[in-house]
Amino acid sequence: MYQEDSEWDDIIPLPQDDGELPLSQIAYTEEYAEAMAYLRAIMAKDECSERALKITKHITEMNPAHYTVWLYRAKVVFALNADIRSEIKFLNDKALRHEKNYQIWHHRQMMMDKLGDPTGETEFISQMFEKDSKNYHVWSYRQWLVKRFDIWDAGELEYVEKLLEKDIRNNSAWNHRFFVLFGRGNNPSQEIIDREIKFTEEAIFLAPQNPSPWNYIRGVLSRVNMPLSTFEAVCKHYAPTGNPSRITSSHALDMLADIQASRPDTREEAEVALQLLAEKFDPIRTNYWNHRKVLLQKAGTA
Amino acid sequence: MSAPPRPVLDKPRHVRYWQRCLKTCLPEDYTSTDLNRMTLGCFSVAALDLLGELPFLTSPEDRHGWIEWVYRNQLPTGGFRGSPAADLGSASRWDPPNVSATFFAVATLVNLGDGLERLKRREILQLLPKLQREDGSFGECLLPATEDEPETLVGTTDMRFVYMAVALRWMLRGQAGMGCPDIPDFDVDKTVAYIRSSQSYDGGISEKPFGESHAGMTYCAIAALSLLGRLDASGLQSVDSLTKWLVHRQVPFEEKDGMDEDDWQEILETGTEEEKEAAMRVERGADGRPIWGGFHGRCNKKADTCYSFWVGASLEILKKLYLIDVNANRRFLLEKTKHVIGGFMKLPQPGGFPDILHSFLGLAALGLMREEGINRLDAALCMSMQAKERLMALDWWAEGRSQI
Repeated sequence: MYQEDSEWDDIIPLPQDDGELPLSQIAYTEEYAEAMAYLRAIMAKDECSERALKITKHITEMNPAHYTVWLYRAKVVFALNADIRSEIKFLNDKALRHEKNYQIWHHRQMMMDKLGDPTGETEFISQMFEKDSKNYHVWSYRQWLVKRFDIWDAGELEYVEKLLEKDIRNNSAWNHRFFVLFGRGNNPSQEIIDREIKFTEEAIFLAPQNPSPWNYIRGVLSRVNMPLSTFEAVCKHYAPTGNPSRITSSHALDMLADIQASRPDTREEAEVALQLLAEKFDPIRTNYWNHRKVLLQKAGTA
Repeated sequence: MSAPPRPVLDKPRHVRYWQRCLKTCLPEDYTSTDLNRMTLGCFSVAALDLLGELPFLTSPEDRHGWIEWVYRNQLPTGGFRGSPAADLGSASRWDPPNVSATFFAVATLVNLGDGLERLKRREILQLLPKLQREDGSFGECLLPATEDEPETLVGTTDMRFVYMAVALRWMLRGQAGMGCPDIPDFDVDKTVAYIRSSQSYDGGISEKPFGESHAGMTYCAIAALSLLGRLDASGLQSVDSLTKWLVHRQVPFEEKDGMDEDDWQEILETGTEEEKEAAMRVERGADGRPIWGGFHGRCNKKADTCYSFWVGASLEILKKLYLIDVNANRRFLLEKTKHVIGGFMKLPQPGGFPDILHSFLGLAALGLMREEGINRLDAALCMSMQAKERLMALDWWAEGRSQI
């Protein structure tokens, strides 16, 4: 209780004024309402003090999405020249307990930017990914970290591979792979592209119906201006349209349809592939595959 | 199996849910949204508006009182704070205008039938270019200058703020940005280029370049482009791959999706092959189509109520909503995530509770699919057509005039 704490004697709390007919009023706990009243009072004074660090810590425990309290805390940390390493430690605990939160990661980014040394960061991120390897905020932060500290070649690709070994369907990891390859601006060598094609083929072999590697290879080929037909044999392997009972991937059918549609002499085969998708292999998207068929027919008569 | 009878929207229950949200205190669990009360308020008012009950089940005094509450959160320098919790009694660096709060405040006022006479419209329009970053994206708040600190733009780089800023420009500047020629506009081309560069290799759109495609971010991007009149090659690298990515977000409901997370884990670890197969079974109708099919927000994730809106609205804006399986989506919402006390849960799991965000977006998603009993809504503004009409009747919307 702040009211009984002599450290806060000099502060006149600033209670919340909601007016007569508030919208979406929340049944605050007494603890939150009181702490907020003291917080408002010292924020209004723009006070930079140890007790400001204490109360902002308390508030973010009850409401980690309070955006101005984090901004205020960042200012106090910098103004007091507080130890940023211990701030990061505090954030570790916070992030592990409040996984879906923008502010914690924004604050971390500000701290890390100031600290200028990413030691320990990728280890902590691994810890976060053990809880949820698709956490959007954490992946976003990781991209920032890689760019900010130019650590593209310090194990990023190896780490992605480790995550994919655990879960080949982790689309966030596939996306990060794309970022590591192309995020630097210049395209990688043909040798690397060949490696990626092989890597994707192996991933598809493990789970042909997993959309991530199919999307990934489309992205890679398009980025380096290689034709989709580079992958035609793989498509045919998983989608032998002459023997529909052996088809094991709707994504192979889809890519095959695209490849065949691009050549006038195989356009009819593309229609067959789309028909199979609409009727048998992806019926939740019947309308979409039929729409594609109509587009194809229109293109054929144009 | 043959499909069960067509479900209906239990409108009275939803109405009661929203009345409770508006007339009683929200439970303590909402404390983590304390600074976003403007958003919660907007959804609550907009939900009753979509249900067509706002004029009948709330009194003019209620609506007037709520309008007053919204204006209490307007800053003297223009823009809004997200909640009275951030009100520090006098001007402060720590009580800055927030772009999301400002968007939701204006939308709430329009929903409540306010004429925006007291809105500091010029100030908001002046604020927008200051919120824009060099790369065309927008920040969340502008911290006012103090004696020893300059005005500071803060916030993550993400598509949500792009949408809010663009929607404010559309609402307050009027047709084609003509409403107040004397106030400098933000750099529209830069914003369009930012959105374009955020379209990912798989066709979806992310919060920023090279991020993972995400249906919520995709909605923000598509709605923004539509409000800017730039749903063309300048704003998108490929409409075809975007459309494809969007329709692929619909996923058949498997038995395990309706299970408690721990129960499914147990089956995965110790269950027999038959048990695993049963858990992954998809029920289909006579036509072979899945009976239930909601939407997820990212590739290989689980279906969640809110994505029926984010994906549905994106397709509606692209005029391609007919490409989804409407029946399966309807059934997912009305049979799997609706709650007995009204409203919608996030996930189709037992023991869940409805919340304001998912309850509103579930309704809005049904509205997009022309559900009986729900008013038509504008997908890009996420408000009823009636509310949009009222907005467009305001002075600055009248063509060729600029009355401020």
